[in-house]
Amino acid sequence: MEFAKMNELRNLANQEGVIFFYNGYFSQKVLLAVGDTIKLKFQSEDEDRMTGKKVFSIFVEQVQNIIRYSNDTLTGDKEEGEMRAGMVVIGKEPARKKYYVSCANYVSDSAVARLKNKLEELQTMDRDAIKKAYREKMREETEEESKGAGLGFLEIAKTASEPIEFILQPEGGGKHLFLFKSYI
Amino acid sequence: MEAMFVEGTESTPEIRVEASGTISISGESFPENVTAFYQPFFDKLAELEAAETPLHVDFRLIYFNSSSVKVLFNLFDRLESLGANGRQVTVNWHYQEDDDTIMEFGEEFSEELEHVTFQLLETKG
Repeated sequence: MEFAKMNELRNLANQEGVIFFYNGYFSQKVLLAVGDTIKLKFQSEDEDRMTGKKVFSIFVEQVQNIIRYSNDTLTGDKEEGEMRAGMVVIGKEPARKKYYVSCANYVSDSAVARLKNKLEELQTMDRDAIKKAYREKMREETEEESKGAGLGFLEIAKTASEPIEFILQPEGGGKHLFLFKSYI
Repeated sequence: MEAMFVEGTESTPEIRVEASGTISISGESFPENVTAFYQPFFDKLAELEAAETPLHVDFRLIYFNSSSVKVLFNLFDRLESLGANGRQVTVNWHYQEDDDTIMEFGEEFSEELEHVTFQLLETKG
């Protein structure tokens, strides 16, 4: 990358209040290393302790989603040690003065309809409805497609201070790009 | 029964299971494979279930991810079954002052319990 482009990237990140940006392969080890940095960053900030915990929580859910479901994998399906590609941005939006955690990753076309329905439904829910759905999901048997508890997006929606935002854009080659954002 | 001790890491909790029936789970929980991580613990719990000692469980969790929520829910479910079968079971759920998230999870899980003595305990500082 040319220096001029690197500068552009840096300036853009500064304008957007970016604290952390990562684009590439994620693994549990990357999650742990970055998670540590985030914790330290929030401990040193003059922020309410719980804000840092919420940012951390949403970050973990988003990264574990990438590790488990991104269509771009280095390792294929494994019980442990999976590495899949995605992008995560954590920042404090200058205009809203709110923290955000955003991510982007490829998903297979076959996963799009289910993901879209799930997230659109979440967007229509208010706080009480989210908590109610969470309670119900906690009691259900785990869905077959799910490698976790199937609670990840509900957890994010419950933790976030505003409705989640997302787009799914077709990219060809059997995949869509999934972009997702949540405010703390 | 032999006691069990699992040292905590940055993403997995410290777990202690004593033959006397005391269990403590503390720290953070967001392992990559939650099922694999908790399997040895649930195996150990099965041994305790077969014994006759009263059970006491202390939770001091600081953070857990959504996959761990399901595991904790299943654990509460098993404790309630034991209680319903006449075992004496007590649970202390500790949360740090101001941590509404962990407190609310405690409240939520305790709704499963009818035959277990449950306490929600705030830790200052």
